[in-house]
Amino acid sequence: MSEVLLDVAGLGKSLTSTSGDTLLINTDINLSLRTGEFVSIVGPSGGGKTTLLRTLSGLARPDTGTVSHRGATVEGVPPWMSIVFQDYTKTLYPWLTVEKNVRLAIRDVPKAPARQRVEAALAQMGLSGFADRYPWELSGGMQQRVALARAMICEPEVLFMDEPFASVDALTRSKLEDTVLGLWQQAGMAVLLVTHDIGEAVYLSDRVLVLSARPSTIIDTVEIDLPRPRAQATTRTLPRFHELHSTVLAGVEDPQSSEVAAR
Amino acid sequence: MAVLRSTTIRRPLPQRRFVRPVIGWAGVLVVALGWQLLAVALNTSIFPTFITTMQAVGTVLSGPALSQDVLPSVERALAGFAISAVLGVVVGLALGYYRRLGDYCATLVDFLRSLPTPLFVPLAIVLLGLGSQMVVAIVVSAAVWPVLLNAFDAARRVEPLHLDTARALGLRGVALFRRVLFPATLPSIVAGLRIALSTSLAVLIIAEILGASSGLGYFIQDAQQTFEVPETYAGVVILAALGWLFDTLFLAAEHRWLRWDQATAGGNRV
Amino acid sequence: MTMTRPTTSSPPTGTPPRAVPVRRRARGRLRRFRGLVGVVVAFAIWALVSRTGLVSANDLPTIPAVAQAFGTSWSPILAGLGTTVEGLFLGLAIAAVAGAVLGVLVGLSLWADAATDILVRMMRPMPSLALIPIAILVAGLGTEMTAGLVAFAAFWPVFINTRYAANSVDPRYVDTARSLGFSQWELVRRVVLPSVAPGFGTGLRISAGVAIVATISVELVAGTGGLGGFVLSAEQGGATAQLYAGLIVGGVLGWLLNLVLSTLTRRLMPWQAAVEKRGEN
Repeated sequence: MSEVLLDVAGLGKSLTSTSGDTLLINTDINLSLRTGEFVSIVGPSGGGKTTLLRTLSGLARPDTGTVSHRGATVEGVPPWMSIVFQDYTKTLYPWLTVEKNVRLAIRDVPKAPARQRVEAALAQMGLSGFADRYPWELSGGMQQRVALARAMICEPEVLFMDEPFASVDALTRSKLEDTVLGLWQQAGMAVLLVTHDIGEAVYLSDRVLVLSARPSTIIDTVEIDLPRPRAQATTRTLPRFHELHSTVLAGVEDPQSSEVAAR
Repeated sequence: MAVLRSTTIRRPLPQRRFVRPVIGWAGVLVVALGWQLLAVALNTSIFPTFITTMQAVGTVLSGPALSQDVLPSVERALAGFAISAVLGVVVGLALGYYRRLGDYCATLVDFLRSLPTPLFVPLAIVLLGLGSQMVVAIVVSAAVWPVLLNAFDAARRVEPLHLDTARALGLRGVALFRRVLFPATLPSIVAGLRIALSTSLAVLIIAEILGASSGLGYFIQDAQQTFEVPETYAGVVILAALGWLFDTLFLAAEHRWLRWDQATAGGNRV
Repeated sequence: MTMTRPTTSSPPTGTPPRAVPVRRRARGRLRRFRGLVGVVVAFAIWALVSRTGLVSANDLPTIPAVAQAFGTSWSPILAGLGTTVEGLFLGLAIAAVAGAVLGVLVGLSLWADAATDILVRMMRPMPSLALIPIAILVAGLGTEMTAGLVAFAAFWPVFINTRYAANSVDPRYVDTARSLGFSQWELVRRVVLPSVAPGFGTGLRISAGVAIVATISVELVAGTGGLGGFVLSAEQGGATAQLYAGLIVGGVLGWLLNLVLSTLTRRLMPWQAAVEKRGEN
């Protein structure tokens, strides 16, 4: 019943730095994402997680291998995908109000019904009444929720998230994690989350993929068989949670994955 | 961390370091060529060809004008720049660091820097006569502001934590300025200095045209009034070359001595 | 009588943590008038210097003398101001439009950006005054020459700043735009232009100053009247007080123009200041 939304085979990507060197970032990546799955990718810093996400979502083109979105290779980001980035100050446009920012995702819809949908989306995020504020008037957690609202309002089939909670404090982080879980359960879309927080990955996902250091490839896949629905207070104390956490951590700390990324 | 070049809006340049200057000079060459063709087409005495002009440049630079006009101008510009730099940094940092003082002087500074430089010249002539002193004074009156304002702005924006740490370590007054405030504000000051350098040159010419009896500005004015057309253009070309030379040398010095501050040095930004 | 305080004291839980006593709070409200202090002090120094004869009255006329100069010459001053403003605004308008358009176009193209780099570094310190001789040779004396020269001089700051802003559109804004499926044109209209607007504003303010200098320079050299012409005739007639009066008017013009432009940019683009205040992330 669940179809493959994203199929990746033999993906490789290199980047050119400002000094002119070509660095191989990702190599031989294979994975597939099905409808309704929650998948996380973890790995060491600088290991190419963000590059991978950009290639998978269509923001960048792979150098080798293929990325098929629903069986077809597409240029750019297909409309049934949404992306939430880490740095919300640079992804919400400061010259637009919150409402206008969110409405950008459904800008083809006529103004009146669009506004209603925006109000509903904001209400879902607990941001009613902030529609006419500017992003920089809001706190970090609130801005990230606006970014989430904007990502969800077009009802995507795949939601990409690039370390979305790295820039907020721990308490806000926990709340946002649960918000995402709630959205996921409600909307049933597939989620691909890139994070360096292993606990977060294990808590949220069905599957955790471990990425090695540069040039990175997927060195481990850990199935998360924790019961759903999950809750911060309970799930994280389960013995099975700690086992899975250790398994993933071992994968990340594997000597294979700690090739020094010379800078 | 390797900076990811965003290839989303623009097609990227080839990645070698000399590519950018080569393209830049190619641009200059295109303009020179256009100039030559246009001048030949128009064939009028008031618009000499590029080649004629460059010949005149050669003649001028190998003649007495070099020591009588060009070099004195360079001296005056650099002297004015140096004075502006010291004055601007000291006053700017003081006004920025001592908040009250800065607030008191803010409106006055705003007004003084809005005084149009050319309007100063007749006054300077009345006070200081014609000559180097007047020219340097005018240069300072204009070039001090970019330095002062940048120093002021940067001093206001210094991370309070840095200052608190310094004070906790017992640093006060001059020592604080020298060891904490100045290094912290240096990138911004350097940006101001670069602007001040080109301002010095521009204002120098203004002062010389309006009231000196020697110098590059005077040379250009004199050539125009005696209808030595190629020489007039030659003077302007020499001026442009000096502007580029000063700027390039400044950038080279900045790159060499301030390499630790890559964040703001940011490459070949204008 | 000193109150001895316990060495460890904790405020009662109901007290708000206010460290500023009431009197200081009132002073805070007067803060915006602090700038006047410097101005008043400057006038005081002026009066003092005049009175003690430290500087001769020929070099520094007394305050009343300058005020009187305003009184007797208000008509030529106003006329001159009008002429200057006319040439200034015309040139500035042309420069603003040209600078904005070209700045965006060149800034968005890495090739054009590199090709114009050296040319710009040569033209930037070029004072309009140095080009007057050429301009006169080519266009004679007249309004076209003035407007053209002012436009040429004022073009560069706007162009350079707009170009730099277009060059530095945050790639993350672009990523967001692409993730939302913007077309190339939508990208320019919805992302590039608003991003560039603050840079354009700054460039325009600098250009305004350059335009004033250029206009007055032309007036001083080519005798086209205006404030420059007024000051010139004052110099030739030995009327130092009039000189100062003209200078002050020029300063006020520049100061007002800058004030208007910065208020405008702050109103139309409120996000720039706020983003800067939050600091770079």
